[in-house]
Amino acid sequence: MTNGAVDWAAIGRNSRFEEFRRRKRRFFIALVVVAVGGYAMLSLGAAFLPDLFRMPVAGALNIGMLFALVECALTLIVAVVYAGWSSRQFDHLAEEINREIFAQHARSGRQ
Amino acid sequence: MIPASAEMSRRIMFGGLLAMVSVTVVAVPTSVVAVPEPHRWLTFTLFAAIVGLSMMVTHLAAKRVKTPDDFYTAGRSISGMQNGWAIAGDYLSAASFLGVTGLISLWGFDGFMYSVGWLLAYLVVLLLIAEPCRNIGKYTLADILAYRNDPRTSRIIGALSVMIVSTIYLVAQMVAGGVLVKALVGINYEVSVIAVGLVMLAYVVLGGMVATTWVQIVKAVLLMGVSLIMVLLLWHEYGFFGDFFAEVAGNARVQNHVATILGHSASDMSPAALGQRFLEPGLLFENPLDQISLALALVFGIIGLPHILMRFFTVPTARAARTSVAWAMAIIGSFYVLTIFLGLGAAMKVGISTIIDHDAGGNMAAPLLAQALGGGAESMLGNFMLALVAAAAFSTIVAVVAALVLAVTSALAHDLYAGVWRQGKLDTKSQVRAARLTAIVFGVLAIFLGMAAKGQNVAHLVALAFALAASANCPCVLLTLFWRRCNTGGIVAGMVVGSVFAIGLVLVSPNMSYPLAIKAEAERVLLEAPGKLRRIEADLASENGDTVIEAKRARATLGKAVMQAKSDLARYRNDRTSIVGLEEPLFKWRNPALISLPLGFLAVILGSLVYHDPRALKIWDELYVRRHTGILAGRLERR
Repeated sequence: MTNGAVDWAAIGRNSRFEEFRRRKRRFFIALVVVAVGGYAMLSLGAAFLPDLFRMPVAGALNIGMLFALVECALTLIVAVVYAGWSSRQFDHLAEEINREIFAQHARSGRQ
Repeated sequence: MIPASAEMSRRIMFGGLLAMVSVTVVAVPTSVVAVPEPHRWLTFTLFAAIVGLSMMVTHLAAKRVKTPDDFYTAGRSISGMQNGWAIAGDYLSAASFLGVTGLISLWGFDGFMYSVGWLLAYLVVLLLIAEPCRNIGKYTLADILAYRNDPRTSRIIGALSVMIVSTIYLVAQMVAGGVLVKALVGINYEVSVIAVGLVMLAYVVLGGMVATTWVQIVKAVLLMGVSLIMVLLLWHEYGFFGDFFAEVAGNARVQNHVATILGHSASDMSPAALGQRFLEPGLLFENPLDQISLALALVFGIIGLPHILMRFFTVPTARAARTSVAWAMAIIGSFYVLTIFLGLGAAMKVGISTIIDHDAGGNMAAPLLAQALGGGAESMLGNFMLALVAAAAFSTIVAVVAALVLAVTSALAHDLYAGVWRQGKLDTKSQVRAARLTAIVFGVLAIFLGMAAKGQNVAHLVALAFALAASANCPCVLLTLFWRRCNTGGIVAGMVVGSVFAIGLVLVSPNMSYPLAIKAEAERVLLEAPGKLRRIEADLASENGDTVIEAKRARATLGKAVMQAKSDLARYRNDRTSIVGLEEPLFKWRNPALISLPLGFLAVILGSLVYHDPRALKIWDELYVRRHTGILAGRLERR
């Protein structure tokens, strides 16, 4: 199978593909903000707001410790949201675009 | 009980520094925590059971390996969940189990923060590359580069870089593994290295990626299981969550330890306040730039480490690639929650002075805790627990080494032999035969390298491997996938500049041995030894049984330190400079990534702008669509 017959540039300019790609990027940027923000807050907080991190929450458990534990949970949440959301939102779009490409390929193959 | 002296805190500081370098990467313990002779059979039985189980998996896998697809990517048949466990297995090396637990046991909150701080950053990186790699890649890192850049050039340069990075990392793992197995099992170094090497060879040669993946899964499950059992035992003893933290703050050993670290400023603090301080930030003071540099190397090095990258080629769909990342993060995240309890538990149950006596970096905290939880060094259950930890550590090393050998094999047999030399005109049967033969040759070479490097300080090798992966491989892969104008000129420039700076900066960094500093340290040890010995002898005469046990241990440690100092003085008698002719480090950080990684990116960008490569630009449209949609992943060859 050769793939020279497919007009990849045209698909790249296709409005549906554009929309698909834009949504994907927006979603990804949101995840990066959450993830990097959590990381930055934990390390900057420990360095510059040690008094805040020392404040007790329950018994010996303080805000800093709780935050570090929450960061572990946040990691899990980001990952699950990403996997679940992408699979629901993006996979069928990608599938449709793939079908289009195959159709185009079949057409050009017959010529 | 613990002498509150400046010497002690300096020792702890130094240990902390070492641990920083070794954490999650290598663990090289300095003393033996093996199961004693009468219970030794426990260790061997467990080892035999685990090796037997993995061999069975390998045997089943071997029947399925018929094509290069089977050998290199397990026929793209690994499910998302399975691959998630395998990624977690790659990430949770013996060193992260031992190193992170040790760090937390020595530094409390700060130890935890430094180990999980970049967990989220790591997640972003995984999310960034998992899907594109699955969609674009075939078997190797060089396959991604060769997709739009000149195939011949990019295969040669990509394969070379993979071989350099993996071999350096492999030697470090072999040495660390040999030392670790020696310490935990009590067999000698050469036997340890050969055992690790032979088991690994069987996995890779017979089972290829299928076996390598399953071994990684078995090991990750084992590691999580052992950690969970230990945490449950700790909760049973000290209470759940809130109660547990209260116990830590109220523990006399922890309070004494914090008082030692804080020195003068602790004089007006109550014991309760001291204990609480262990759970607050700010105990560990570090060069923050070096820390950021290490974090950069670890986070971006992951993209450039070929054996990790290969993991994403094993799943059938983009969805499975994402699922695998989610599983991996779930497993790694919960593992880190467990390590808090393991680390703090070790600080209480084992005692920090005992942990430091066994290993200054705290690497032996987890095995010691396992033994103590089971009932101590004399008891059957205690030794069973220790043997379980040893078995988990052993299978971890074997699994990582197997993945590394597979990565080098794919670079040699797929990229260089089948791709460049035979120009892709090799039938599937010959490809598999070439792969197996390469794996045997390189695996045997790895065993010899491991034995030849006996006694070497491998910390600098690890720093180098990660820095190389982050500075050379990572910019090339990322920009090939995400930047339209990236081309052959860019990746050649990036690989060369990234490698040269990473290697060059490590060569003039504190990772190398500087005879003058070593001799000064050795002389200090010898000078202080008589005074220390007097104090220890005073303790030996004590009424208190605990003090006597501590003193005996301290005497053994001191004896070792003196021996080491004498041998250092003899070894470096006529030397003044490191191997590149420096009296002291020119570059003050251990981790060069903060400098070499931006330079690597810059080189790819400048190289691409200067070089004219219409093919790379033409194929961008196709790569762009395929990267997003995953059409024809792994099936369609570019010509």
